[in-house]
Amino acid sequence: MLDNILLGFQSFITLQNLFLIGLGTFSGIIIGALPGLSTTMGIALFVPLTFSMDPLSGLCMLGGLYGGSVYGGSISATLLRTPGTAASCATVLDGYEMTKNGEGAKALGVGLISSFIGGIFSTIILISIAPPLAKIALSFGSPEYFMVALFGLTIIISLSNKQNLLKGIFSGALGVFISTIGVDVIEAFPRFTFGNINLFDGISLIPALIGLFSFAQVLRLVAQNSSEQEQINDQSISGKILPSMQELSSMKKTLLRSSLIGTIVGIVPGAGADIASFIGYSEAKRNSKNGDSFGTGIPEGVAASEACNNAVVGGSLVPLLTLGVPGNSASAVLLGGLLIHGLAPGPLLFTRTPHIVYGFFLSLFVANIFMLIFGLLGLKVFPQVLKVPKNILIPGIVILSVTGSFSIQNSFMDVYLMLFFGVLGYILEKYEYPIAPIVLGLILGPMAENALWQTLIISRGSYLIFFSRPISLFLFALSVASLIYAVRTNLKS
Amino acid sequence: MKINLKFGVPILFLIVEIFFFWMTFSYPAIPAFVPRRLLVFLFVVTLWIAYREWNADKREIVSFNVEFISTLVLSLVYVVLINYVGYVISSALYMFALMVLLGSRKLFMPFVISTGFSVILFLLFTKILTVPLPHLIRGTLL
Repeated sequence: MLDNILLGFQSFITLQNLFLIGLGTFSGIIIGALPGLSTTMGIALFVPLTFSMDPLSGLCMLGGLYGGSVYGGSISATLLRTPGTAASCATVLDGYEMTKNGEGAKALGVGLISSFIGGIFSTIILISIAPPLAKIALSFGSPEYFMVALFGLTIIISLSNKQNLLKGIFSGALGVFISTIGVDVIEAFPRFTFGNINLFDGISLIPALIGLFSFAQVLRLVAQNSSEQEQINDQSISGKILPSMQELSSMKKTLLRSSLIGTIVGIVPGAGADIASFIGYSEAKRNSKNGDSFGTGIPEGVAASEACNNAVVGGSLVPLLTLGVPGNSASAVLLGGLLIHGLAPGPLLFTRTPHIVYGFFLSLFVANIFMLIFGLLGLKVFPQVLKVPKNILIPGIVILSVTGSFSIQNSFMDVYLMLFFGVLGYILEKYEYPIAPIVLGLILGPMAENALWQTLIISRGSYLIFFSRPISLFLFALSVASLIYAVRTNLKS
Repeated sequence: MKINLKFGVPILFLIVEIFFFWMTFSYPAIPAFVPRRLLVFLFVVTLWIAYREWNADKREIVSFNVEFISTLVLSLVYVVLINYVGYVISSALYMFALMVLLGSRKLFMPFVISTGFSVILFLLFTKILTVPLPHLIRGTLL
């Protein structure tokens, strides 16, 4: 393996590749920060640009874009309560609260360092144990996916605070129910579409996210008094930017745990950075001495989410490169990029073109370093958006939200849905219903239902299959334990 | 007159849930399987919340300020208008109107900022990110 690493190093370390990694990372950060433009869309937009490049150069640029965009989502999540990508939803929970507490710059700094650590960690895992890990991932079938979704849904309890546990469960169930809108997976029967063909594909996740977080936030900004907004404007920009070594040291367990969770979730095909960040956040909250403070604006909450979602990047490349099975939608588009360059993922990729594979791995290290540099340079600049007066910021956010929602499918239905979810999110938050569980329900609902039906078809209607497979049984036990622990903790208080 | 608005929200959801449950009776068994069970679960949880909120503090009728209602209405009008006058013009008009509504006294700066912002965003999405946006006149900025 050392020979291959040296070979890869020699292949990728050219000025052109370094420039392309930097360009990809910078573009990724911008794309990630803009609500409505997802990581997947960013990679899809840039794949055609790689046609004229050699395969390794193209991969270097796309890898940089991948990591940069996942980090970029945290910028708008922290400063504007608008996750730039679905992976940064969990970052909003503490990131925006830190901004309200006058620590917006520090939240960005923590997010950056955590993203860097998560990215480097998963890249190391990718290089060292890709093939054996991929074999475990491949043994995941529909029963296991159902259990992963079930485990994810138990996180809803830990996302709800003690006073609003019931409302948190309501929000989660509402999110899962909303995800049933559209044609069902078995009989293609339209459910709750009211004859509207635009709803046949269901509710698109990104417009719902933008509405729940971004447009709802606009309505709150308009409804709140101006002094609160001025307070945010004045404080956040002059605060400390980077966490101290002592603060980082106090979060080291969280960073390690979140990086590990993100890498593992990334390796499992079908589970993306959005699920990973919630799982990482929830586990950090459960295991932290300051668990009760999560959601009030503490750096550990931001660190957990950001380390996790960036760790997914390396993890998702494991099944992609070793087996040709994409870990998530972003790596599915990367697969397209590989195929365009005549590279077929699989074991032969490692033996026939080791210089490309290991060159790509090493370029991910450099991409993370570029992300750190650009992020550090931007830390003083990004919070300037908070100085923008409310009467400019509000219409700006709405226009960006409308544009972002429209650009997903070039559909005005998505824009109307965004407005609807915005009003819904505003009303729910006003009466103390948490929003994050709705998002989790929207993400996990389709995964759970599809996996359930596939499993029941395989088992001819028997539910015993869930308990006869070791990984599925393990995940079920984990879900039950998670549920019991969370309910007990909430009831005790 | 004081109205318990907190109680009103779960009641509204209960009505919606009953309506959707009624819809599932016209669905075949398999498509209706998951939504029906979810709606029953939601109904129980919502009922429980309604019971708890019944004893919540009574509130006066909340009056939404003019800015709030106007923002909502203008946002809807903006989205409808994009289809008729294109992205740039509708975005510039929307931003100008909202800036004035939210407190800008002078008209020149809102005009400049709204026009510049709309044009820049349009160019960013259409030329650099190659994401098509509605035009009034094809091949132009408008």
